[in-house]
Amino acid sequence: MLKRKTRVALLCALATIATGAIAPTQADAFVSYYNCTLKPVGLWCDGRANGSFDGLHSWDFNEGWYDGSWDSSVLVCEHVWKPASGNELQSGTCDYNHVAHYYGNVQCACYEAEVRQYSTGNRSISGYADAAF
Amino acid sequence: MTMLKRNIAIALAAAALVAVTAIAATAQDGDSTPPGSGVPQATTIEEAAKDAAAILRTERTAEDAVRTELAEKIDEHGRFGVNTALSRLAIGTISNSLYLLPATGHVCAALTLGEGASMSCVPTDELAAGNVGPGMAGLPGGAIAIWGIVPDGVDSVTVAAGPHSTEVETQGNAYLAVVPAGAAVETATYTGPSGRMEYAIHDPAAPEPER
Repeated sequence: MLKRKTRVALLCALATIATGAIAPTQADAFVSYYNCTLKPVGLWCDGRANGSFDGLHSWDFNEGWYDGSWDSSVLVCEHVWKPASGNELQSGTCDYNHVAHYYGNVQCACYEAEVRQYSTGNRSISGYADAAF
Repeated sequence: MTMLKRNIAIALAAAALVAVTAIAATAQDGDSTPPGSGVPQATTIEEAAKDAAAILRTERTAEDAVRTELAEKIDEHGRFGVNTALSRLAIGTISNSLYLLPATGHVCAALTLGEGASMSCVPTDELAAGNVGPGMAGLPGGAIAIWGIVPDGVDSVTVAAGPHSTEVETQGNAYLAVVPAGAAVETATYTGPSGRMEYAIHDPAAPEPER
């Protein structure tokens, strides 16, 4: 039978471990991985599809890439936008196979990061975004 | 509640916490690792990269340096071992600068956009072969920048955009064309070591198609 103090200590330790796993590490800032399987041409993919974090943040780096062979057959685009207004933080960017966008200083934790692809059909694409704040 | 029941309740709570922790940790990891992550940073410009692009054979000057804050961000992410201390400025305009950034087995290129930049990296052998697609970036006011890097021997790139089609000369193994807002962008074409290369281009701000 556990003593009361031992039980409390055990619960505190478990709570600390759980909180540490759920909350992002400050040293690495806030990060989001996301991916979409066989996404149709031109449709945006974000964390809601399948990813580590689905939510708004002050994303100041957004990156997208094609999951298949990089033969320059897939154009990958990214953007960071504010759902509340529908406006983009800045205009998005595109590049073949892989694209990354450094946005500079972003303060408002109100943006969504997304990627999309242009090719001859459905393609699997992934994204990564992080926020310094 | 008896002591036994209390201990069972605590054990169940502990088990639930462990389960939540495990699920959360898995979700944090995600399924994807960005390409080029964890590649050792290039310390010198590789010979293959120098062979592919003359600008990488030039002496580096103060003008070639990427703005400190941006350079720190690029190096911090470190895709493909990119090293901004090896950068070369290919094209500099009032609004945008286009840099070649040597990496490990790759050459990256970055176009500055305000405080930030768009960046992409290609394997060095693809650059040498002239198999490098263009990048696109939306500019303030809706204009579209079409830009990229090419190997030695490619003198010009043609951007087809309806009445705004243009042929731009390469400069420092790079090109940058700007077409006005609303231009119907179509292709970027150039002739290099692999022959005539044609890449489709899109407006990054184009609305989603109807589902």
